[in-house]
Amino acid sequence: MSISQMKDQELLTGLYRTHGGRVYARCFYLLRNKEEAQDALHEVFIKVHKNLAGFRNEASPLTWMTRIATNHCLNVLRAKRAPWHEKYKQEVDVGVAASVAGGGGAGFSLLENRELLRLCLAKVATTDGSLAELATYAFVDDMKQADICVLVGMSAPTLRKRLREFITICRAEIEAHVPGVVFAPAPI
Amino acid sequence: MTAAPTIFLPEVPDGDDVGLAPSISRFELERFICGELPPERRAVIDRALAADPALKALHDDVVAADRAFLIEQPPLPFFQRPAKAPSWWAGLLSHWHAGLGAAAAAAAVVVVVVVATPDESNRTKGGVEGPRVSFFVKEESAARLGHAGEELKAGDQIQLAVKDVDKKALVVVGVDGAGSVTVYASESVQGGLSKGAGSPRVLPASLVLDETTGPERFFVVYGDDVDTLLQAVDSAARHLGDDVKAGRADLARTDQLPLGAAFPQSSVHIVKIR
Repeated sequence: MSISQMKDQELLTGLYRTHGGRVYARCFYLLRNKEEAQDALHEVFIKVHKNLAGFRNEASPLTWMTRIATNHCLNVLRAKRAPWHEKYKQEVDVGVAASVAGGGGAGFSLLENRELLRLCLAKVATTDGSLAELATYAFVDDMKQADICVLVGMSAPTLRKRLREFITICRAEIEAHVPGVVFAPAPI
Repeated sequence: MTAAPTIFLPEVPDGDDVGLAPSISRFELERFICGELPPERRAVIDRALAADPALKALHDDVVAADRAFLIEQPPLPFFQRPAKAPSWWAGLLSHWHAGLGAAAAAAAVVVVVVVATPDESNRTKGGVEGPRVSFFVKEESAARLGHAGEELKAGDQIQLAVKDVDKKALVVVGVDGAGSVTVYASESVQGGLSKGAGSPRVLPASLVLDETTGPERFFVVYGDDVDTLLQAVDSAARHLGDDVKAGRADLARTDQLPLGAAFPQSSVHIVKIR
């Protein structure tokens, strides 16, 4: 192992300590499987290792690594397609029912019901990975629009149009699973 | 009969949105926790955390989750020895890939053992105040302290433990019977040692033996600067490696690298068998 490699290893180990938990959390949230999330975490760090030269100038390693992790996990979801989605729908049905039983009848926010939000992300991931990515940044990470635009290289109007597409798909997906559901704008 | 739920959908405002607290998004909070934000922005978030219990609760949850993650899945090395010098360490990367959970479980077992078991370094320079290194061998459901010169087989898994001295940097290097040198760890330990000097600690990486056979000795060397230390240790280890290759040194007996007193060191060796 050369000294330069050793420095790379120190950098990677440092990144793992400071950012590994956040990357793993993203992977686990999207994949809902510990082993798969661990594999995904490993893949992310392999990609980080391969691109360390470019990484050294990054102002925000978390932004960079989150993007790698998000795209990787969305690709994993897309590859699973129908079998995964069927299993997932069952989990979400239970999640929605639990929300209702727990007082959700009075209404709950899609953004606070992260299980339901994940169903929507997964649904979109199977057909439009880039839209799922944008929605993840906007609704899971709560990133600001301006930050997302910079991250993905997109204009603000286009981003807003895409996010509204996502909400439309969510709405259809939830209606398919929850008969009689009522939608309302989020209260201020 | 249960009423159908009302679900509030997010809005996408034409202007920029706001996050959990005024102008603080969840993602920015995570960047704050990762230490990425400039001082002026950190100060803003510090004030928001003091004023907003919900934001503080989320902050604490994320910090706790990150701590739990590192305990459950400690970092392991990302590199393996080059192909031209295959080693029993070569299984390390695949171990990282396939067995993070298992490694974490093994590490947890080892940590318990190292606290309860007396240090058994076979080599110490500098008397009782010097550094010490020992190793643990993972077995079915536990880990035991290994002994110097122990014969181990392919697939056996070990983990090094050290008793640090009050220095700022540490390097772990291995020299095998073919004279090959491998640097396995190099770390800055400033701060950690001020609290931990004299107490045994397990190095994070666990190691899986491959099919190669013969002796291998691990040297743990301390210094005050990682780069200087690494260069000195690398050079000394290669010198020893050349001697081993030429038959001038025996790893079972050569328990020090040719370094001065400024570099406290300790070593332990194993013998890999089929």
